[in-house]
Amino acid sequence: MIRTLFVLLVLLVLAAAATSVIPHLKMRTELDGAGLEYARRGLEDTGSINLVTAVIVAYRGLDTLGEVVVLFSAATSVMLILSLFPLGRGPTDPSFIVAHTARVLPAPIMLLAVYFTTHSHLSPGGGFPGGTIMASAFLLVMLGSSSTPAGSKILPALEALSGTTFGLLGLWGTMTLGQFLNNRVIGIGNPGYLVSAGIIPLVSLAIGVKVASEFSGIFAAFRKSGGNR
Amino acid sequence: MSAPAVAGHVLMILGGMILFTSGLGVLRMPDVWNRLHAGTKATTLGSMLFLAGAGCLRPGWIPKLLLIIFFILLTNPVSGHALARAVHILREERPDNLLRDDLENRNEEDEGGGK
Amino acid sequence: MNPSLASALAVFLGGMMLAASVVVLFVRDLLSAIIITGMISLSASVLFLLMDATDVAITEASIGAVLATLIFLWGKGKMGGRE
Repeated sequence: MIRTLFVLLVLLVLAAAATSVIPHLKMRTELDGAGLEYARRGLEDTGSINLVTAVIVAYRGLDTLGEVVVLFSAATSVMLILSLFPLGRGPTDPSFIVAHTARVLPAPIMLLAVYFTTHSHLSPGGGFPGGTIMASAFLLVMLGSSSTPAGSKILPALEALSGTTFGLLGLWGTMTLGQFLNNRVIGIGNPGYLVSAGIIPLVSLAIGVKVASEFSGIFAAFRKSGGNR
Repeated sequence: MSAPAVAGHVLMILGGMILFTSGLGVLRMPDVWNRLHAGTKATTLGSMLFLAGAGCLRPGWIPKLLLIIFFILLTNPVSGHALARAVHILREERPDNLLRDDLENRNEEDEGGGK
Repeated sequence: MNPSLASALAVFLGGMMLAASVVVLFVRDLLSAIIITGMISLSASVLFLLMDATDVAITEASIGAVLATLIFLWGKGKMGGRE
C-alpha cells in the first residue's frame, strides 16, 4: 500500500515536471544545425541514398562501434550466466506441424534479413534490424529441431570474424587517410547502385552478422541451459 | 461510389468486426481453450478480410497484400497449434465435456515445454 | 495518409503507451507485465512509422517488440514459479 502510494507520488512529480516543459516546446518544420548539414552534404559525402544509414555508419560510425561493443558484452554475460546456472527445463521435441513450418519459413525470413543488411544504403534497413531478423530465422530452425543445430558451433567464430572486420575497416581509414572509419578509402561509386557508397555496405554487413551471431548465441545458450527437471 | 470501393469498404468493416469479436472473445471466454479459439481462428479470418478490403480500395497494393495474407495463413494457425500444445503439456486443466483427447497418450518422455 | 487522421492516430497511440507504462508498474503478474512492455514497443514502432522514420520503425519492431519480449518470456520460463 505504502509502496503503491510512493510510486504514484513519484509518477505525479514526473508528470508535473513533464507538463511544465510542454509550453516551451517548439514545433520545428525545418532542419538546423548538424541535421541540416547532414541533409545537405550527406549524398555527395558518402554516396548513400539512405541518409539514416549514412549518419549511423559513416558520420557516427564510432558510436555504432560502441553500440556493438555494448551488445557484445551483454550477450557474453547472458551466455556466461546461463552456462553457470543451468535453469528450468530442457528442450521439448517439436510437433509435426511446427517442425514442418520451421523448415519452410526460415528461407523467406533470411532473404528479408539479407536484403535489409546489404541494401541499407539504398532503402530502409541496416545492420541491426537485419541481424535480429537473421537471428529469428535461426531461432525458428532451432525450434523446429529437437537439438541445437550443428551450425551453432561456428557462432563464436562468426562473431569474432565480423567484429574484427568492422575494426579493420575502421583502421584502414586510419592508415590511408588518417581518420578512423573514413568512408572514402574506396571510391563512393554511383549512388543508387548496390556496389557504391564506399565501405557502408561492408560495415553494415559486418554489423548484421555480428548482431545475428550474438542473438543466435543467446538463443542457443537458452536452449542448452537446463534439462535437470 | 464504384463497385470495388463498395466491396472494399464492406470487406474492411466485416474484417474489423471479426477482429473486434476476437478481442472480445479473448477477454470474455471462460477457459484457455476457448480463448485460444477466439484468438487464433478469428484473427486469421479478420485480418485476411481486412487486407482483402484494402486490396479492393488500392489495386496497386495487391501483390504485397497477397504476400501478407500468405504469411498470416502460414504462421497464425501454427502459432495457435504450438500454444495449445504448450498449454496441454504444462497444465492439467481440461474442459468438462471433453470427448476425445488425441494428445492424451503421448509418450511421457517428451513432456516439458522449455520454449 | 490524411494528416489529421495521422495525428489522431499518433495521439491515440501516445496516450495508450502512457497508460500502459503506468499500468505496468502496478501489475502483479510478470507475464502480463512482459506482454504490456512488448505492446508499448509495438506502439512506439507505429509512431516512428507515422513520423516517416522507417529505419527506426523496423529496428524497434524487430528488436523491441519481438526479440526483447521473447528473451524476457524465455527468461521467465527458465525461472519457473519464482518471480
